[in-house]
Amino acid sequence: MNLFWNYITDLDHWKASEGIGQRLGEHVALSIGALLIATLIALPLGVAVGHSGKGDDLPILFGVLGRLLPPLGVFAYFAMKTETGSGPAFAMLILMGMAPIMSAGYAGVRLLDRPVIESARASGMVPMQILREIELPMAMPQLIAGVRRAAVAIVSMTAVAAYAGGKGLGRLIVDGQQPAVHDYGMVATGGVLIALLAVGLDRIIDGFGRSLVPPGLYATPSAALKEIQPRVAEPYAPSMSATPGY
Amino acid sequence: MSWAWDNRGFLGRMCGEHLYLALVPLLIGFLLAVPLGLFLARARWGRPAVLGFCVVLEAIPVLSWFVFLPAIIDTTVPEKINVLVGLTLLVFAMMTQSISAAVAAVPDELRATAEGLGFTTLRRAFQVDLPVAMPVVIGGLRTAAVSCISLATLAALIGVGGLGKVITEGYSTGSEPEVLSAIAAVVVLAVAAENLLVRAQRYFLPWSTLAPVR
Repeated sequence: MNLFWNYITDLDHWKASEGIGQRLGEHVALSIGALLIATLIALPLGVAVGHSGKGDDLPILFGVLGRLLPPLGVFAYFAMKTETGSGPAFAMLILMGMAPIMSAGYAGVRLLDRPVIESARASGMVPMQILREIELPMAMPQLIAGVRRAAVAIVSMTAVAAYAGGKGLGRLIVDGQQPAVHDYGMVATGGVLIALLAVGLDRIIDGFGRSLVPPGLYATPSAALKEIQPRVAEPYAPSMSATPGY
Repeated sequence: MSWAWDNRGFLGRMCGEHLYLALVPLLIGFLLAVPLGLFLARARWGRPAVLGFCVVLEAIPVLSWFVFLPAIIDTTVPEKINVLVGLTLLVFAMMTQSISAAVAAVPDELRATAEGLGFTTLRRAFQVDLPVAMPVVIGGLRTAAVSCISLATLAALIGVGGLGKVITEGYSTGSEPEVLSAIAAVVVLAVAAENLLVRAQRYFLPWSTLAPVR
């Protein structure tokens, strides 16, 4: 704990070239850049597939690969195939980040209650209207959840990419363990800042996302239902209102 | 592929170590999450706070745990216990949410019936709530199992064994087939674990509507 505290509170470590400050900046730029690009590509694709029902193979393939492939192996392999550096790592980050977003966009729209869509169609809405006014707002919680999952995954994968020649806070973890350096404070600082970044980004997207969800979706139907349907039987509760003399 | 065959002993040993690193946390995290999830599902207080805590816990990358746990539990970095505890925390956070959501969705009528039949709260929790919620819980467990097996490769970044070590070794010696074999082994283990859970559900909960095996 002390090693960590001494390292992170030392201003020289923040200002140094390839120090904490520079690594933090790299990490933020890489993760947020990859997240933005992945969202811009994967969200429309997933929603389009979910809306039209055509080409489900694409989100399913992405979903399965994104879940099963170990990030460390993927980064190591592509670093061997291409020249090392952050270019290929950045491309892989985007690809791996696309998986949860595309699955969420696809499943969020596809698994909406069919009767809702059917009644929208029956009331004369054209497909584009159904997409914009029914499907997107109703799938919004799922879409936000997908982006959040991607954000957390990208922040932690950026750290993994550092092993195979990438930049960012992961370098503190990898370099700090080199026999020549062997500085636990450096390693722990990298770990803590990555965790703060992941949790912070998750909270920000969650907070921003809540404002995009139509308030009607949060109203629980159960409260309204309970007023309509009287409870059938509560045999276990000697209730006040039960028939007198029961 | 010839690399994998020539080194099948080594690869097999690493698979075993990998499964140890991934499945022990899965089991412990699950067992810890069962009582808390059951409690939270019907708790009058504390539910939003604890679930919010679990959401944050789930967002913390396991690599951060691997390198920061030594400062908390007083170990050195390249030790298996860091990996085991880090993954356990992740599984615990995931499964607490999924168990409490699944149990909260158990119909009130069933619980009322059990209570009318004279079940104590504890007996109802384990003989009614949990079995009825089990299909959803197993769904969560499948996700957790795949995550664990995939994330256990990161143990190599702190110098602990398993298939991640095969990847880093292949990377540092420039042996492409070694990296590819390790990736393939991770995928095979993950698919096998998921398949096993689906089969377990079919065997132990034959009444549950089966999700198609994907």
